[in-house]
Amino acid sequence: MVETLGIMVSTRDSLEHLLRAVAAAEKRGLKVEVFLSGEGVLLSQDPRFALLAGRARLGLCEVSFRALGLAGEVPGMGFKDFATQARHAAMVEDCSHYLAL
Amino acid sequence: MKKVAVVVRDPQRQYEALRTSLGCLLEDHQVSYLVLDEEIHPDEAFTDNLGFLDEMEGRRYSNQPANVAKHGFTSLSLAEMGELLRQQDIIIPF
Amino acid sequence: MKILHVFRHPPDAETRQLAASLCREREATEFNLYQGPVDYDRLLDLITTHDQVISWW
Repeated sequence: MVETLGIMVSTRDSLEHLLRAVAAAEKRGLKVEVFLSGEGVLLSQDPRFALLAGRARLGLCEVSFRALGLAGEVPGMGFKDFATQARHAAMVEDCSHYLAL
Repeated sequence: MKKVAVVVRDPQRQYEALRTSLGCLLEDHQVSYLVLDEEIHPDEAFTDNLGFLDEMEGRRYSNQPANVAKHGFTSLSLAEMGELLRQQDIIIPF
Repeated sequence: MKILHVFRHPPDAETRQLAASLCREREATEFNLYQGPVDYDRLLDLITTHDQVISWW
């Protein structure tokens, strides 16, 4: 079974860590799932976030997204990826490894 | 089901940490919500969600006496929190 | 039980006390995310070889 790394991002200054950690996980053959919550959703507005499209399962907390006045599409995320905290909770359950940023 | 502790010490993120705790409860995780140092100042939504946490059998602890006296948290010292954290599968600091 | 402590900022006394509780009678490793350059390959090595990862403040 392929190991999975779940990354929960709740801080606005973690994009570099996220991008580099995902790249390192890819090298090891890990599947990666990312969930943005709280101020972590601000990462979705950085052009570099698009670099993750297609490389990890991406999702975010829609309540946080709207609360911070954000709108529109996010690269790599579909309608269902604008999710609730239950998505994060499922990630906690399913992932072999968990990292909070 | 996993044992999850959500530990918050940034007062600006107490509510966000509570929402994360509730999400984990909905997935049937066993959740402890730990508020360090700072008193909460809950608005209506925060108070409602604390009630939901209680109804879903989440546990909430604080080392801040005002949270125990005024907001219904169970008192835990920092040392006792450390012992509680030893029993967890996932620890999420906010 | 092997614990990996990831410190996002320099740990203060409170963080140190909580981390120490978790380490007691267990194998533990520390990784500083706040000190560059960060070796992300090593971070992933550590994440995948420890039972629990805690990203402190």
